[in-house]
Amino acid sequence: MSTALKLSTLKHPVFEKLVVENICAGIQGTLAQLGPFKTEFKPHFFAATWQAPTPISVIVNIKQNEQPLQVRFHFDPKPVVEILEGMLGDKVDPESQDILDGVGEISNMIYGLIKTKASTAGFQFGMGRPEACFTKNLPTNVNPNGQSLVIPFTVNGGICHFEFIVFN
Amino acid sequence: MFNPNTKFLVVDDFATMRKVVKKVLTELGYSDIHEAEDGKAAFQLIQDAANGGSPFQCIVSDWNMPNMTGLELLKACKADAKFKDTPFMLVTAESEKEQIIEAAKAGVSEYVVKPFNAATLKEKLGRVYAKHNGAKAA
Repeated sequence: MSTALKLSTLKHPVFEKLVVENICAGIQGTLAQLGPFKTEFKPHFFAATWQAPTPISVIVNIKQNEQPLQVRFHFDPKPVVEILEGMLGDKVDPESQDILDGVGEISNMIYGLIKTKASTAGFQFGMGRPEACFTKNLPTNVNPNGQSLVIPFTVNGGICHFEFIVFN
Repeated sequence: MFNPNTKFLVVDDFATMRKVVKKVLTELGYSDIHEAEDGKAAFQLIQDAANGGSPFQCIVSDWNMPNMTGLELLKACKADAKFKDTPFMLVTAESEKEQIIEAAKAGVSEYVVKPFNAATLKEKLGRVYAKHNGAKAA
């Protein structure tokens, strides 16, 4: 269940259209290099309370000009397994710790390209180390002072989300 | 190119990427490949290997790791006379120009941006070998 916030209440620069475009470019650019993965984006939305519908998540705690932010990736396991099996040449168990390690590295690569793309647009995001977990172990972002930008996307039809949380 | 007996150290906090790099190195004909999960563990292995008379001959490291980053590991190697000439590649998701410049200033042999393919890693290894063997000949 999400609480949609009016655009007029969202003043943080990371929610600007240019940043959203750079995030999408980072996601699509990385996945295109990892194999024949078709990435399609759905309209992004804003929320104060949102629960990811997919079972695997990755958190990256970062800063932008001393503002604490959090990036979260939420993945459908099917495209993750396809990506990892392409990278490793081995079968991957979607319920094992191996998939968490793998999705951490995938997120690391995506975030690296997002950072580079955003920096060319003037947004300097700090380095952050991805930490992966099963989404059931991830707290919902319930923070009266927090706002999420959520970008849904599909990878070869598997539903994924990029979430950007700004803490006020 | 590095001879097939070259002793490699692959450093990355994600086991998946260590497996990917090791897989590519194996496909290129190398078999003496060791691993570490962060810069601190790697530097200990580097010191132990040198003290044991079997030093690492090429280090392939990620940048963003806990305990000791790849950049810190590079600088530690460069600061030690025993390791300063050891070929050192950074294989990392960090691709901002400022970071590449910082790594070059610290003396990195080559910089590979993830994701990469086997052909890219092979090409970069060839350049590292040429750079270090050209330096040795000089």
